[in-house]
Amino acid sequence: MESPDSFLPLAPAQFHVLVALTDGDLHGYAIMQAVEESSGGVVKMGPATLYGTLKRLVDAGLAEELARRPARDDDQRRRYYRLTALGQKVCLAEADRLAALVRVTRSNLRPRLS
Amino acid sequence: MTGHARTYRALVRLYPSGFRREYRDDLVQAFCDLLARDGAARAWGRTAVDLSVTVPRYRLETIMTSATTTFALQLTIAALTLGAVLSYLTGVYPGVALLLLVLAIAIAVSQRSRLARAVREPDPDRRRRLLRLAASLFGLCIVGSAAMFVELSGDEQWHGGKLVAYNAFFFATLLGAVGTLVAGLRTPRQPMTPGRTVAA
Repeated sequence: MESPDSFLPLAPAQFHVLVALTDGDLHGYAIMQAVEESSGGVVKMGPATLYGTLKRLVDAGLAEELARRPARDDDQRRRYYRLTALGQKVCLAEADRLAALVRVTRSNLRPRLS
Repeated sequence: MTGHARTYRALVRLYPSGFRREYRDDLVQAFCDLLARDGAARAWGRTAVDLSVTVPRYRLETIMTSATTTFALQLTIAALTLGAVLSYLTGVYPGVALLLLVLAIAIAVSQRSRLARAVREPDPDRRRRLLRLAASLFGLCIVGSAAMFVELSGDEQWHGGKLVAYNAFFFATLLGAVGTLVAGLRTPRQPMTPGRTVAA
């Protein structure tokens, strides 16, 4: 298995989709909604951006398509996606990387601006 | 299906065929969901931006695949080497022969990992790429031949045997172009890599 660090830094759209999938298995439109919600409405993905990103994540082995639909949803036309074990590690590694950047930014700028 | 959905479904045809085949229904479904939630104006606003960004991007990505780039590299190295050999053999500008050879070696050395990978994993679309290249070259030949034919047909020196020979060359090129295109069309396309699916 490839090292999670070899995938970093992730493209913002990929990270947003991975973060959305940390909440559970979702179909495309639910991912769009989750991304919009988690970004406070700042990131609004269009359909092709979403599915292009999902294709990259699936090809890279970070997400996978479920062959069967979860029982709670009766719409058999929708395809559901979930994080793979590698996808979880990569998502966490990217979050750690961004957290380290946030720490540096805060420690450098907060004293000056406060 | 509403008129909006039908319009978007038609616009999805702008995407590369592989992406379209795999995601057309999902794209339309997501658009319909947006339409139901946000209304036509906002759904189209978001989708228009999405189309304008992703159509050229996905088209470009399809053209500039790794295999295409490697193929172009191999061709460049081959063309430079051939140019160097011809320059040397014909005695035209020996300095140019050396320069072309140095360029070919520099490209091969700087891209050695990509070229080595191409040797280990042969490009399954190589034949199709070669046929496309040959078709392009034949196309150029036809355009050039036609232009020269028009230019020379009024010249008295080109009547008789020379003009017949020239016509033969022109039609042989045309035949070659058609043959190459037909062969290219008959070459089966590589299927798209399927997405990974797992049991729920």
